Amino acid sequence: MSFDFRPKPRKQAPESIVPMINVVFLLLIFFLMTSQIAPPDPFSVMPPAAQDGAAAEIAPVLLLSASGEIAFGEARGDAAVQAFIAARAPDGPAPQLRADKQTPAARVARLLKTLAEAGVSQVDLIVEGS
Amino acid sequence: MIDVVFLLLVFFMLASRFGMDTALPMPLATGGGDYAGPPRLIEILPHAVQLNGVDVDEAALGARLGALTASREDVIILRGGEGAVLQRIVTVAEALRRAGFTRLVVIE
Repeated sequence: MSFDFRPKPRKQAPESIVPMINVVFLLLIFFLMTSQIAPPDPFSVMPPAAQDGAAAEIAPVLLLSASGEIAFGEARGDAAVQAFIAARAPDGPAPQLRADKQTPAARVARLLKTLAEAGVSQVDLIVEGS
Repeated sequence: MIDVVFLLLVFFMLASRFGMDTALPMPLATGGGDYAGPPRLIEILPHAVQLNGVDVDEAALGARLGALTASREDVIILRGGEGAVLQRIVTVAEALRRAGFTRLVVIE
């Protein structure tokens, strides 16, 4: 009769790799579906907060920082505004303005006036939803 | 192959931007002559709101504008005063939007 109650040395099950691959593929597909690839912004822009607003569509985005810098793609300053005006689709969704919440209102208004004079009839202001 | 898949995974995690943005539509003053009715100029100051140059309580703004407009589609002009930042404009514009006024034009 054996009184050896020590746990039997169990044979280590081989680490199966297939479930891990499944999970990784799942994550990969999740990121592919949910992400839109975007280059990082040239400066930090914190959009103003607002409760309501519609989901933004894919459209050209003009960036305006708190200190008044303007960027659109690679272009900066007035060239960015011109490129933004040229890039809007005539029948597409309204182009978007992504401005910092600390931007002086006069600066925003001046930019909107420039856009209006160029014939842009409507822009969407990007806001941070609740 | 798993190495490649991991690499792709990390790439997409780092390169993607999350969260759908929300957007507020802003009509621009295109110089069209569709403005009608009495003047409706809202001057937005950091801690006060003026309607046509007179201090107004922010909560009463909707009712005061109702008397000056024929319909909720009428153009209302917003102007950022000295020291007002964009967040302030958006806050006031949002209150007006709640009251039903949707055509808010920001001018210099």
